[in-house]
Amino acid sequence: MIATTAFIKLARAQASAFGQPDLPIAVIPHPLGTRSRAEVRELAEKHVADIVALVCQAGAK
Amino acid sequence: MSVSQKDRSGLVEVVDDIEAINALYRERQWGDGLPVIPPTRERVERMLAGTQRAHDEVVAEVAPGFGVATVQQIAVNAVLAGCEASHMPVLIAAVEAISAPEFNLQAVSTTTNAATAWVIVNGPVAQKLGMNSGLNCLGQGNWANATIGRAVHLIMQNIGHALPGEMDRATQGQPGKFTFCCSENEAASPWMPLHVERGFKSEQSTVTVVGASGTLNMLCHEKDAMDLLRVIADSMIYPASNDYWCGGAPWLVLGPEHADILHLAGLSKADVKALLWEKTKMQASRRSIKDLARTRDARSAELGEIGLDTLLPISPTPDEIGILVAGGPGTHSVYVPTFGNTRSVTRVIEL
Amino acid sequence: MTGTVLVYDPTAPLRQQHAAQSRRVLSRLAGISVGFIDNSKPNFNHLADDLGDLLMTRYGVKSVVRHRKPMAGIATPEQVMNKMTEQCNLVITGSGD
Repeated sequence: MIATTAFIKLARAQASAFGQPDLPIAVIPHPLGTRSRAEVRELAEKHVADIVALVCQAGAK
Repeated sequence: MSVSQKDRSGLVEVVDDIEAINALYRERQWGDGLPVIPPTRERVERMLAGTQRAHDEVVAEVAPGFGVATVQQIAVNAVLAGCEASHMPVLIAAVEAISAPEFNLQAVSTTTNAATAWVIVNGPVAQKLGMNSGLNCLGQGNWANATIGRAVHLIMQNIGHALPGEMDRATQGQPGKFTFCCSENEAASPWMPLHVERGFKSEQSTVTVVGASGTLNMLCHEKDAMDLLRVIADSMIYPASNDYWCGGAPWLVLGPEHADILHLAGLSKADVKALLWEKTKMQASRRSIKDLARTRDARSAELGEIGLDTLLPISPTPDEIGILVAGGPGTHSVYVPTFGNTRSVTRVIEL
Repeated sequence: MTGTVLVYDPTAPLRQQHAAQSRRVLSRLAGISVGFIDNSKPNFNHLADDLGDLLMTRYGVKSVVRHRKPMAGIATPEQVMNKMTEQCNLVITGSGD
């Protein structure tokens, strides 16, 4: 799951309530919704490695 | 000694002093910010005498944390809120109602919207419990209204884990999150009561829960039914509304004087809903560009292509506008916009 | 001297169901399918576009599958989830604003 900082507590508690206390949650700065298209791309560039590290042992490739 | 220990029965030992007990509840985030009545074994026993249901019976798992609402745990929260034993059947029905899938408590409790559960009681039980459906029925001053509504909110927080700032993400919230409960003024209503409209018998008692975002007072001295409806409809329209976003189910609390004007003009409740549904259509361009995009996501299946000139209905169908007659003398009615993605649920109170 | 009293804890434990449900850590990303459940909050679609793009171009992900919910506050339909589970090795969702 990808959560904005303001939603981490909800995301974590909700994952637990649905039986996935260890669900990998990547965190991006809040808010996402008001950013420009270019800023969203920057966020993706910046956080893709975190997401990969959370779900994949090898990290890359 | 403020240190406390919890044993297996869910009991915690604390200094026998009202301030120490409230300090413990505050520290554990087990309350709503107001002082609570300590749920001692004796008080909870007395509360449980208000229902015939088994103490360990599971009434529901309460979203978003899905804590188990046993009859006993409902009673514990009822004591906290200051309820009387006779309120227990109302609370049990209310917990069943908020847990029905169409109420969508999962989203109502976790949304950034101010939404919360508004509890409406119909039928003979309202009078038996001395509930207020007249002057100031949505305000302070009536024990049953205040404590039943408070208990439901404590249950949502304590059993459902909708803790403010944690899973409850409300940006501001609203005062109704402390308590929000009234009964219908069935005696003053010119129409059939809400529960009868929904297929229950008039001698039955029911609880209805609504995912309400707040209350907006509407003053109108007009005696002409159509002009009154025009003004009410105009007051219901606002571009930043969740109801227009996803096709909601907003509510009106019509004061008995306003209800009488509509009834004397020959309008049934269904007529009023149909007229309001037409008159509350809002031009899509009144929403912000981003929110119009969200409206397209949410409502294209319902409305087809949504352009700037599309007229958005407030709810998918006229019948989804809820009407309650409540209040005392005066030319006021109240608009209750909702979270939108929620439907009111009515459950029988088993006495 | 004040004595003590027993009072009830009014909370109920957070549901912890099937905590053992299997979730695998992926050994590699190359050649796999990644799903996105778009919660339709503003910009999540763009974030999913960009992440999907980066996962394919930089990490060798084979394909990206998308589902867009009409609004955030409703559950993804069971059949969509089943289909995603079948098609994808990894599914990414969102929680935020």
